[in-house]
Amino acid sequence: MFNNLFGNKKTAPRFVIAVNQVDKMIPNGWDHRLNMPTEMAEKEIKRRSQDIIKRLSQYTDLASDNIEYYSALQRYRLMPLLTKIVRNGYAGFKLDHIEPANPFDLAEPEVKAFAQQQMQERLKQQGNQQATNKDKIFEEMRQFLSEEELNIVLSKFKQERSRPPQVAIFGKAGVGKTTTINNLFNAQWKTSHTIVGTTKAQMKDFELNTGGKLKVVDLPGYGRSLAEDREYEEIYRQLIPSCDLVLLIVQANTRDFTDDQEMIIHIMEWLKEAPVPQR
Amino acid sequence: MEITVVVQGKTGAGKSSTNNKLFYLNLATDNAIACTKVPQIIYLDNSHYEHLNLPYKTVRVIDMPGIGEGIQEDKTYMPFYEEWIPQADSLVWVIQADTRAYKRDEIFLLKLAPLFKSSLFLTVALNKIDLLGTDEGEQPFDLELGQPSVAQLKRLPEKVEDLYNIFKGAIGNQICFEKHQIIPYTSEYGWGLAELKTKILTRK
Repeated sequence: MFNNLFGNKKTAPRFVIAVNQVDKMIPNGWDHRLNMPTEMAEKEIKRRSQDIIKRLSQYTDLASDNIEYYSALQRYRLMPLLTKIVRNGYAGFKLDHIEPANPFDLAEPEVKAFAQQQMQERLKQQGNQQATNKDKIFEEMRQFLSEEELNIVLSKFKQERSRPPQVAIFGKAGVGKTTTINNLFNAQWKTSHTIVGTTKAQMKDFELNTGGKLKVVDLPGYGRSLAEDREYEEIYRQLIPSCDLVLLIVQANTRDFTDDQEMIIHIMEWLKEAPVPQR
Repeated sequence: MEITVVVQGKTGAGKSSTNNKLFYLNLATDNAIACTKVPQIIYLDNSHYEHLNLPYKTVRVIDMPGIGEGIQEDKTYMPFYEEWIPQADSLVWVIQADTRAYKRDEIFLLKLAPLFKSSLFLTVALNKIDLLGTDEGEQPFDLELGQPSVAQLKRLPEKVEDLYNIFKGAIGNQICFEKHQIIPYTSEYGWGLAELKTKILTRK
């Protein structure tokens, strides 16, 4: 039962593919006034995304629910991406208080002001609805579970909650991993970072703007050269099973996916061997 | 004398776009999906090379389907590579500047190098120089002057050095390969195209 509540491999594949840099999809395809793609660019982005989904889901049981496109640099579609991360991550509820960097900060001033005003109005209408959702779930559980069972659930919930979410950021060399971390989690680089073994993988602790902590496993990128890939494979094998989520980033304006397909086959194997994060 | 120019490289790097710009062709290109599925064979008219004083009667250009499209596609296209690479006198290997991932190029070079003619001339065509470093906040390509920004030009030697090591490592001593055979250009804006064309056709 607890496996169902706290995510097993069926409910949470712990794997999201993120298609970055859609702002570079076509030349002159970015509207800087509104900070969003032009109509023409958006059409191409969608076609490309469809193609990527088709290619990357060929070798696994990936669904379109595991894939999202965005631009970290332009902060475009960070919210849909975060939603997929929460939905597919192990104990994704730990990521519920993250607010990605605001895309309208990059738009022209009058656009920004308009967006802000709209946002405030909407917030007023919604009230505090969101804050009470979690309590509601526990109230509902009370109807089905005994007091004792409910306490086990609550303590398990608290225990998992106290552990910062651990997310592996992965992808080919140069796809924009750092920009993604900073803008998606609206996170500030925290001074402590540990080099794992003698490798180049780094664990970074992030202090979130909205409070709380996030552990990011920054894996060395693959696909640069044969020698480097051979060197890194052992690192991947060791670290990936310990993560709540693997965020695999691909670059929208490249369309060679053999490297990614090969890596996805590996990742799925490693995650299947460890249906619950091994820490 | 007949020469064969084979244009090879990763899918999406801009092989067909480059051929279109170099030789005023109209090969199908697409922003979103791969569209060259079988080799396209083009015979050039002599206006492209007569001013270069070359002893060629015929020049044919082979536009290849790209490598790295997918595990399955790589297998499907392999017979095309095995057919055409041994016939190449001038091999143009198109890569794109705004990535650091060149493993797939390395893998295919290792596989194909044993098929090279000993007289083969290799040109590494470094495309999309207009996007070099822009994801890291560099000064972008100068659209008015139609040339890379100062920052991009400064970044270039480091890029060429890196590529030279990867390519040299994969080719070994099969054929001669020097740094000047790496030509930066942009098929989108035209910068560097003339030099690339001369290199490919004169083969020196």
